[in-house]
Amino acid sequence: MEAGVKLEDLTRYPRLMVLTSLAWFLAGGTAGLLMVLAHATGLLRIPEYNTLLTFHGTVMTFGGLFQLMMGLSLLRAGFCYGKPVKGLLVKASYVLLNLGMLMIAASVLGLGVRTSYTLMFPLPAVGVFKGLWSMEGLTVFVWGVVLVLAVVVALYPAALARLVFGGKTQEALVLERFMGTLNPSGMAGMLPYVFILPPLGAAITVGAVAIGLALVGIVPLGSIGWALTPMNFNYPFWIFAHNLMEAMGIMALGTVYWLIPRYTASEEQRARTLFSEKLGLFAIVFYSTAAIMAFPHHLFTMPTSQPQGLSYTGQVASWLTGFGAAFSVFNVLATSYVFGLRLTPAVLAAMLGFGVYIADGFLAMQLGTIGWAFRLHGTYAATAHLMTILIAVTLIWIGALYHSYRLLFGRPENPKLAYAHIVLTAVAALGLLYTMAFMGSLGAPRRAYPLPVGSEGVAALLTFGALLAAGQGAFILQLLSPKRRAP
Amino acid sequence: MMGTGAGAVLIFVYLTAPFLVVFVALFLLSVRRGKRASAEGLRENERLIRAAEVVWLIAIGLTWTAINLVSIQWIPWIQAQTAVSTQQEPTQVVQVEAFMWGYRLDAYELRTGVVKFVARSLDAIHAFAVYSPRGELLATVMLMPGMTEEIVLELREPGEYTVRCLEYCGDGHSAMASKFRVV
Repeated sequence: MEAGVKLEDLTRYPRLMVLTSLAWFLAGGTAGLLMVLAHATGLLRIPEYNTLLTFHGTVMTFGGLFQLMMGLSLLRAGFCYGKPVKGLLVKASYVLLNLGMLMIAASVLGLGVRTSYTLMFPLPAVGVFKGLWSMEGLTVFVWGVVLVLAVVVALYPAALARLVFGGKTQEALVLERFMGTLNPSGMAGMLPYVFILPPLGAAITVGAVAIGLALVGIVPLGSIGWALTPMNFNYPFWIFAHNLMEAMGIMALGTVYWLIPRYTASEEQRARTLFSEKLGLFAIVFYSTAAIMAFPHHLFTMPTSQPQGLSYTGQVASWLTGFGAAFSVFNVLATSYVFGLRLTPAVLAAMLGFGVYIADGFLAMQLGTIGWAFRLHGTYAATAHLMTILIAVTLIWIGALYHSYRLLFGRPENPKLAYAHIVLTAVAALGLLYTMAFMGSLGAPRRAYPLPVGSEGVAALLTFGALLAAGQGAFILQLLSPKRRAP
Repeated sequence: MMGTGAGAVLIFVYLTAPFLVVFVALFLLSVRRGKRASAEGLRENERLIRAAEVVWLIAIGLTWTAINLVSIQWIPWIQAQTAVSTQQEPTQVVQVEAFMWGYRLDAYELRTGVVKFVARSLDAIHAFAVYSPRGELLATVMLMPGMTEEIVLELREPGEYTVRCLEYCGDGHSAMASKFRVV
């Protein structure tokens, strides 16, 4: 180690983020299990279910997955470029994200705000006027959202950009051979987030801040009428939320592109890259461009008020993202087959996560088809897509976590527990995907309790939910198990 | 059939099940190949794989394009327009108001044939989703406050149709429903 350079500078915040994300995952996962149990037994009252619904969605997406991605992507950028993961941007990202999440959790669990994590604007405001929750609760909720948005849209991409483009490399912190900023097996998969999210998330952040300022009386409510019309709020929200999911997906794809070549059996120099680096880069650029244009698929079921030309653009762009995914399928499988793979928890998680991601992609493209969207939008099929993509991306990042397990926790992972964790998670993800897709085909409304139709799928939901929980139990055992000696 | 929700899920299963089998098989094969000692020996089929790359991309392109074109006929108003032109029936128009947590229709008894629903929300975001007497979801539209949506459906089956909300709208979301009859 060079003088003054400590490995801890690289790992402290990523480890904190990973462990904190685990705490949020546990809290949100428990809420999710209770929700399914309630469908089976009727144990919750409707407001209690809707409270858990809002808590589960918010916590799993931002406190859990986003934070896991933030920690591991910063770690990876740090040890590839040889730069410490610390400083104001990193600290502020960690503190403000979790402060925001705590405020949201308090407003949901303590003050009864239950808007679902998609907000459904103007429901937050209408709920106050209907007496469903208080103005105070809404104020805490909105400021929690503002803090989370500040991290997602500005602080995290700035911290990542600083690691990629700024600062000086400290050779002692370079732990992996650098694969190139613009290479798909290097950092290319991280760049769409850095460059796309800040401009596309700016409008919703400004709107949320304006609403927050009005709620605490700093600006008059009348002066922010522009932010309170449903379309003015929801257009920026959909553009942001859609592209956040896509950018997280592309970053996960980039993680597969990075991990798989590192576990090929061939010792050749070339085996440390993808089968086709050009196709990999093309896939990332193609996918990113198509994803930005695919956002109008949120408008398919507003056929009169929204331009139909925009809908068709959304359909074609949604399918073009499928092309990007198809390029990736070929490239990842060709890399694995041509160079051979060494089986490790990291590679298993990345491959199974990628497989689930692609399987879900078929459903995403169906939801992105106008004719089908009129029969599936708002049903459990949409839930199946959203939840599966989040689990798949999480599984891919679990691969990255096992790749860096010894670096983060100072000991190697227990492979048996790791394989149990990964396989149970993947099987549960696929089980939930098919079950929810089936419930969607029956017309089961999402976010509805009790279910007016589609309750045939509840037993399967409970079974696969329990499997998912068992998988995470294996990971907790992994973390708590006594130190194993490095081989 | 393929344009319905059930058809969509059937196609989904037909496409993803073989994909997952092949994906896992190739993964396991890659792990098996990885146990071979000689690194050079692994690259024997590289030219074949380069050819497979081209075939794969062309096949994907053709499949994707075909589904996109075929799916146009599944869009509700295009189906309904076809029915109007072949049956020459006058279109019935029903005004719908959605609110927390119910629906108000200006007609609860309709004739079989083509019906245009003109729907709007009075408060939060709601959906206007129509289920056939057999429980099949025929179509859903999202209702944003301040905007009006029109959906044209061909209601062929006599019986009791159900209207439900598919967009989360608070504590009464699950129970937000109404019914109308088609005779």
